[in-house]
Amino acid sequence: MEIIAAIDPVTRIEGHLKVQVTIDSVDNTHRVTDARASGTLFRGFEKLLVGRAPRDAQHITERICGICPVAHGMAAVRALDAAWHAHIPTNGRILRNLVAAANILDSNILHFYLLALPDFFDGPGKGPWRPTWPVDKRFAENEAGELLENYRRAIAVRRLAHEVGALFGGRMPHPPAFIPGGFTANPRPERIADARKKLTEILAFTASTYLADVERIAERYPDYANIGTGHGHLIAFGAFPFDDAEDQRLFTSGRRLAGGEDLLPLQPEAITEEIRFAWYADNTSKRHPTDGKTEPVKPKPDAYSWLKSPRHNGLPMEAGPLARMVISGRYPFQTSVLDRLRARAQETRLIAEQCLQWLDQLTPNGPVYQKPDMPETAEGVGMTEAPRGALGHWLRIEKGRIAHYQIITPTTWNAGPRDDQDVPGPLEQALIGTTIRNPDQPIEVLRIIHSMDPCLDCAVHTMTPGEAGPKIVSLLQPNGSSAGAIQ
Amino acid sequence: MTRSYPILVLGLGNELLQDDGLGIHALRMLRLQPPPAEAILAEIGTAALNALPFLEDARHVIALDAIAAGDPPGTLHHYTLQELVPTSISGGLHDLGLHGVLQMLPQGHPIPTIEVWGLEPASTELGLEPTHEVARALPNLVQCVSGRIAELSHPATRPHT
Repeated sequence: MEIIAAIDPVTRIEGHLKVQVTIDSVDNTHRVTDARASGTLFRGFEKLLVGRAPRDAQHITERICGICPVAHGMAAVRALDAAWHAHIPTNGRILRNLVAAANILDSNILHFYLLALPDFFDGPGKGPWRPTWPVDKRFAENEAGELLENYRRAIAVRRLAHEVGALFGGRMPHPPAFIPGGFTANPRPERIADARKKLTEILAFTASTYLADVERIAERYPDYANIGTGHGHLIAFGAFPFDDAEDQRLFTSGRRLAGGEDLLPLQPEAITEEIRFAWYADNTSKRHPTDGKTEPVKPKPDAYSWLKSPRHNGLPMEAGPLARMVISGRYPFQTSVLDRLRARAQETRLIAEQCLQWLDQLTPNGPVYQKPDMPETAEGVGMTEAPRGALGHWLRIEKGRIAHYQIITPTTWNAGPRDDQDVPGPLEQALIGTTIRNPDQPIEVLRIIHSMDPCLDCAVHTMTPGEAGPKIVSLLQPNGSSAGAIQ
Repeated sequence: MTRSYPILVLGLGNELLQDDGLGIHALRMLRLQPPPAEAILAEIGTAALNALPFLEDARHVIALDAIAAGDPPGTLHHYTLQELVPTSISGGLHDLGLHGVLQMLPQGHPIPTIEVWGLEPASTELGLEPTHEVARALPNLVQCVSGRIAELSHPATRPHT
């Protein structure tokens, strides 16, 4: 017997994602045989930028969403830096690192405690534990109580990370301090001292509590080291330069292919977006982002997502904390639900430690900005790591105005649909083959989705004019019970 | 720096999507007026969780946002949060909204009263400015909210009987 379960919307993610899995049951064994991830909202924020002054790019792209605004600001100024051959003073580089790092610390802690952990133990009968499927919870009541207490502390700690971003960035979210040529804020001694205090507290929480809680999950749910493995191809754009020439970075760029021993270089020219299963014009497929087009076509036969399918040398690649930790040689090359949670926690500690060193390297009240020449015709790429993985902005300036802008976000890499060769996207592949205990309440599916932390707000290229929103067919009822699988 | 304000005014929405950002536009217009002594004005945008630190200090919250109730664009709306949000559903963090964030206040913490003031949007398509219909209605919204801040700051004393 085959049933199709649609989880729509998937809760505890950012934005609107619909995941449809086909579960085949043979001799009472249930297995996912097909998965389709759909971004259900069309967004085309890039269009807003065309015709505007180039230095609007970071301010506008930061406002796509309040979850990871800093990474967009960073990618935009890096694209402008590249276009204008800007030289960033050391202080400017470090301050950019610190604010971007603070956003990742915030996002990682938030992801584990608010978005992922509620799949593993039962908390109070309110959000983020409702709606849920109350199945396969393996912690005793006292352990669940401790995890709940840590969840409450995590809310307070992620705020400290937010404050560090605001101390130097000017405000959070949407910090105004990112500017091509550097940064607009001076590192005043009292701010450095304040940031040190907050970062020390974040590091202490991460080392003593966050990492330990991830290991508790690993101990109780060892099977998840083999669940959600996916294609196993990883990609990172790299981030956090250690020196002004960017010879060394905390996270290097590169790729790992499943079964391969070698670290492969990132080849930005080998990135294309395919659109056979996305609601875009077919003749715009396999384009490089420098001449990428966004031409919505809906309805379109077979298409099921507003996300395009980015590919590197034609292959689907997973982005995120696990990818950058593996590619930087800081984590063993393996992919699963547990590996994604663990790599994210280890990365959090690494970044917090690094932030404290960066504070020491700042020259109080030293220069932060060097004005670049701003030719009226230029082209640039800004690549960096957002909390959820590889982020790129591609930009062309003509007659002093933005003529072209394309963004590829980490969630487009991870949660995009099948490509032109019918090869599933990374999230889809991570779901296919998964054994499901109870097809009416496929908690395994939710855990896999949450491990990749999809964020659809910027990934999906607002609603089609005149079209009502997606009809929600949800397994999740407000009281937490199951409505049962459809069909 | 640590002083707390009993009244919190929040600007909510995405200012890249025309009228979706009307709460933010209204908040910025409020900022152009003499600052109210008892209120803090916070531009929150799309991630309501960022309002949490402010919520902990507040007794009264006025949230400014686009409210689609099916009325003509620019219609002034005024609700309590409970009237707008079904209490048992929590979506994503972005969707989590104010109601979900309230659930994250420490246990036993007093829950502030929350009013939502806003306008009926005409369009939430891409665009950095609100539509003409909403732009025309914004000054009235701002005036009403100013009046409400004044009322909450100086509650009319009950006459002796």
